[in-house]
Amino acid sequence: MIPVAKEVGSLRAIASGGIVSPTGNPDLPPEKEKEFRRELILKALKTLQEEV
Amino acid sequence: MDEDNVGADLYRKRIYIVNSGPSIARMTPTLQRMAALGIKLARRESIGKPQDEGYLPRGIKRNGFAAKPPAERAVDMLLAKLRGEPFHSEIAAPKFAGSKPAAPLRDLKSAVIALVTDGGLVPEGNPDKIEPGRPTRFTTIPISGVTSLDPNKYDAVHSGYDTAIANRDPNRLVPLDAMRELEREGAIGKLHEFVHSTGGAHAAVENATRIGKDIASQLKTAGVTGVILTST
Repeated sequence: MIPVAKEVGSLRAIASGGIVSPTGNPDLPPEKEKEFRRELILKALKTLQEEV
Repeated sequence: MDEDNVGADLYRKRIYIVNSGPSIARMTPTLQRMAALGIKLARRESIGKPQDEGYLPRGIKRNGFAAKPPAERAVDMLLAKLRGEPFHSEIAAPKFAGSKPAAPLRDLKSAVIALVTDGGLVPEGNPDKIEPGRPTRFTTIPISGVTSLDPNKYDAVHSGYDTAIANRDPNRLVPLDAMRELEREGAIGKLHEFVHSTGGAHAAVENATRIGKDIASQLKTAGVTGVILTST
């Protein structure tokens, strides 16, 4: 979906955990899933600070 | 009217607008087409396709029989495109106005970050009745004092993806728990007190545009400086 987002001008789109679980990963144990989510959000916040 | 005339988009669905093009040099053929169309309307004759009668498309679709099946027509179009020959798409690709990305966030530690989603997060029971498909509105969910999205208090309503996983833990859709943690640690200034949520399944472009603008306007008024939008 990222190419679609970029095509309409959402240049700061980053890959998520997937369609059914954008900020999660149900295959991971709960503590690892929380780490995954935290890392993803940190990446998103970093992207907000970048020039596009 | 010319197709780019502001009035064309406002009224094309309600009345027949003959495409005059941008120049008055075409006034004679335009008036002839208007007269011909007018006579047909007065006689209550059936009106043909926009490209045949010369009016701007009104967004009306009628079923009809074609000489070739759709697969053959699609391949014919593709072959024409590959050969660099003209072809006419049966469905016009939607035109997106596109938007200019915001300037980068300068200082994360003082930023007010909002969470927004098009994955259909709603409070339990969906009180604002957000539609699972073809949404026409968004909901504003207060999250003051909420540190994590409790699956008993929030649902995902969306016909475009399997919501079971998000329903078991809504933080997988809207990462509230992670954001609260970062707020507590001072990584961001503040997590905005509302989550704005809508659905993205079969959303009409006009509705999605309007919803997006309304959400953005509320966020700006509230002093939000950055948004994380999670999409399904």
